[in-house]
Amino acid sequence: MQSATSFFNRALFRKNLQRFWPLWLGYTLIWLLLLPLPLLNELADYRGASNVADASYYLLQIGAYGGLVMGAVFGIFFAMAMFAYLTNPRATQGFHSMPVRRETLYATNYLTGLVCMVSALVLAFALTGVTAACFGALDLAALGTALLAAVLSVLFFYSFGVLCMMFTGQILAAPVFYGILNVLAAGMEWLVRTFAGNFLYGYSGYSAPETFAFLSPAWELVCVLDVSNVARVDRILSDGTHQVIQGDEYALGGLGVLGIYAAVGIVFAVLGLLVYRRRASEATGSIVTVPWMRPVFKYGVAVCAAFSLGQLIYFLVFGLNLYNGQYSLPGTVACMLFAGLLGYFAAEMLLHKSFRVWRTGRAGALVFSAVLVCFGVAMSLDLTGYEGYTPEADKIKSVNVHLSSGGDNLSCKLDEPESIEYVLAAHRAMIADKDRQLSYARTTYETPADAPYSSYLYFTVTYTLKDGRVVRRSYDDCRAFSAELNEPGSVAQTMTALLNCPEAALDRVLGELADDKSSAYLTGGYYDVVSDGAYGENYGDLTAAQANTLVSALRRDYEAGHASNASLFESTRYGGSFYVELELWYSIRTDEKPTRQSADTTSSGSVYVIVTPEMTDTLEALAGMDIDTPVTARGF
Amino acid sequence: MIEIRELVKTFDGFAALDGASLTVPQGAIYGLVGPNGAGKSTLLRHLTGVYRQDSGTVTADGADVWENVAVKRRIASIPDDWHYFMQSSIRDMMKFYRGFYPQFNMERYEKLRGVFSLDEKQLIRRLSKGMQKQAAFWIAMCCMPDYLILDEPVDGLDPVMRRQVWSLIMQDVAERGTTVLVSSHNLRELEDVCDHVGIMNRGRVLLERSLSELQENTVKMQIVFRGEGAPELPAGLKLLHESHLGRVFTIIFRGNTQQITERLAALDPVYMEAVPLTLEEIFIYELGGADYAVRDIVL
Repeated sequence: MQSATSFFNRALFRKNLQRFWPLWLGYTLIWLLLLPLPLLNELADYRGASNVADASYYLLQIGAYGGLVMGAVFGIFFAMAMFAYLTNPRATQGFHSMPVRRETLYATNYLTGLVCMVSALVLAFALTGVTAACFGALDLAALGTALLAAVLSVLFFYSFGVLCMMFTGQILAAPVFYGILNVLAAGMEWLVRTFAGNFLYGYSGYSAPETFAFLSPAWELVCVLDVSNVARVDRILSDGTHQVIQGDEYALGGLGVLGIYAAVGIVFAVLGLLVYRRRASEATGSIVTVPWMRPVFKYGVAVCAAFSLGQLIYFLVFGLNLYNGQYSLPGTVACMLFAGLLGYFAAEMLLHKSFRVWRTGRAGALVFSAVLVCFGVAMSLDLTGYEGYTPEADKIKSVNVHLSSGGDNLSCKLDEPESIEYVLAAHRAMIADKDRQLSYARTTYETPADAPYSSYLYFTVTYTLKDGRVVRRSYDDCRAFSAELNEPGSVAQTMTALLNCPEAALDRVLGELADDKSSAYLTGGYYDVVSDGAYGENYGDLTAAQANTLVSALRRDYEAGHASNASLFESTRYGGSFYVELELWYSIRTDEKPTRQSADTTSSGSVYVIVTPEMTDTLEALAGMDIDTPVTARGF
Repeated sequence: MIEIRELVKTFDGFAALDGASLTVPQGAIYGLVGPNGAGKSTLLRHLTGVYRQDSGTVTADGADVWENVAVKRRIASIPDDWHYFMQSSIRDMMKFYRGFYPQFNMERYEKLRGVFSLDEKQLIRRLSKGMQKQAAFWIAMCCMPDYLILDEPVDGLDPVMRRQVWSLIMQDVAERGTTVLVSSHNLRELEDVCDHVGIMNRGRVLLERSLSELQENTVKMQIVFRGEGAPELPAGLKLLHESHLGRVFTIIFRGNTQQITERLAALDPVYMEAVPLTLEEIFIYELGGADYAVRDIVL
């Protein structure tokens, strides 16, 4: 008769504690060294002036980052300890011949590790709480939050470590898998983006992982966790002055994300159990224990080796003296193929525990090579149509443009249909000019003496479509030629038209204050009159009222057309005999009440405006404020 | 009763067990013999719940062994390579086993202390191989198993301790009706203790019988014929092996001793005698028929 399933075996639990107490003790001691002892020293030094906020800050920092590091490091150690028997054939047979189900073995071992890790945390935080309370610096909420963060980290990383142990029968392979998988997705995304940036026209500058970073837990949590002040409130008083109220409490940001990872950790624990039930005892000693994971491992190693080692080999052998745009796609793919095959056969050797893998692996190697070559061909021929794609105008909701040139620049969000057409025209001109742009990049970065006068361009567009999709393109190190300014459809002509389109001109003058229906309130500002390149000779603060006056004047200048005539080839903002730098501060009123959340700094900002000699209304307004400029004496 | 039917187990495409079937009667001491790599240990690991079969059935008293705690509590095993924790003494291991076997008998544990003369507080890893084996027996016998699965059980034990261990096992069989399945290459020893024997080769059980049946079914005849050489033997006799030294022929037949003697008498030999076969001889000659013969090689 089949007995009912029990998920806990006391004898095994007790034995685990007896066997692994040194690890448990070491982990606990480190936590004691991290939390209560330093806090005790800190508070003892400042006895009489104990600071709850400082103690809370320290607690949250250690709970978040200490918990993350300790959980990540010791998570795999405890997982290795509890399931080490699965990497030794004799021990595996010993355990599996005992009258106990696999579920019970798994659950008891899993729980032992978790209990060890969490009990150490509870002890360390309890002693910390007592220490803080003795000095009157106890913040229970911070203490609880920090403990929760540390426990959640443990839950995720330990479960992740256990899952890694289930997939391998080699004790040393587990930490390698664990370490790699913690950053694999972000690393691979970076590598693939770097590759695309090198060979896909319009894809430069997007190498930072963002899409799959969440699949790299350690990476993601380091980015997400944040300890900062609770709710910063900006207030505008009746006289228009600006007041900042900043709380002295601290809060942990990213706790929700950590909670999601902990939930994933529970899923991993269940998944580990399912894998364990399917895992054969004879798989002990194998690098990958589950049959269906073997091809995943083999081809995964090959792809990773191709993108990492392959690109590195190309760069070290051929690319050290090359610039972006000069790299050879066939050369890189050849290096990737070499490295990928190295990785493929290395994985095959590990799986078969033999160096003789040519016969068993050659078919897969052929498939891998064919896929990689096809990938290279598809990239070179742009079979996906990535390089030539521009969204249809009527499907675009808005577009963020960043245009940097040797002359004037533009960085703003445009949403008027007329402006979007200007952007599309400029974008299409860049696509049409692909071959010439790339040839300049491939030949030399030095402009030939007889070359027409040109300007470097960095052009980035981010379309937000009406269906919510986002399309991004970026073109670095491009050229525009002054001789083509009057040539319709040329890069120079379309970019200049974009620079001077009404919405762009308005943004150049008023920035975020361009929208007169905005809920932004001016709170003051700063000015600096720069004459003949001399800074800091005539400068000062502006009141909120003065800032308001200047915004009205700037708007009049824009409407009078004084803000256009921007150029790719010379700086019309800074090129005159003088200019005035204005920095206008604003705040956006929100009705939200302060909460125990991280400070929200997006409720205020500033606009930076260059007032040129042509912007006469603004100069007149400045004169009205007794701010002298070179034209004050001459009159308007 | 232990029953294994059409058991198949493959490792990376290699069939370690290829349809093995075996029946161990209740209260029997069953010796499982076979050449190296025949699949004996693999078969035993199925019985102890370590391996899961690809196909076939492994049952004890009609119940599947795999993941069946109730059945596995009735099984104790001593593998060739017994597992113990590095920092554990015999007493620690006893406590560990006691947590898994509710019927663990402490009274017996105390009684066996005198038999094995081991320091139960010493770390097991510091003990010799033979002493570790004794420790394994000590603990396994206290689990009060209905089924005892032994893989090379007395390997490493001195002759006195071998006899002592077998005595304990046979006492358990006699008093408690314990069923014992033992795999060993020491056929002379098995011959003394086993009442049933199964011979394995290449993942299959070639034959299994009671030892007496096995010995009755195979005959070694020593014959001196008249004249030079051997005459043509009567048709229908199943000859397993033939050799001669001078005029004395030693011929192994499969069949009933009396019938074979009567048929050979028709050849009017000068001398003829049926000699009992040892288990080792049966093993060698049976496997000779399965293409695993002792080859005469001159180096």
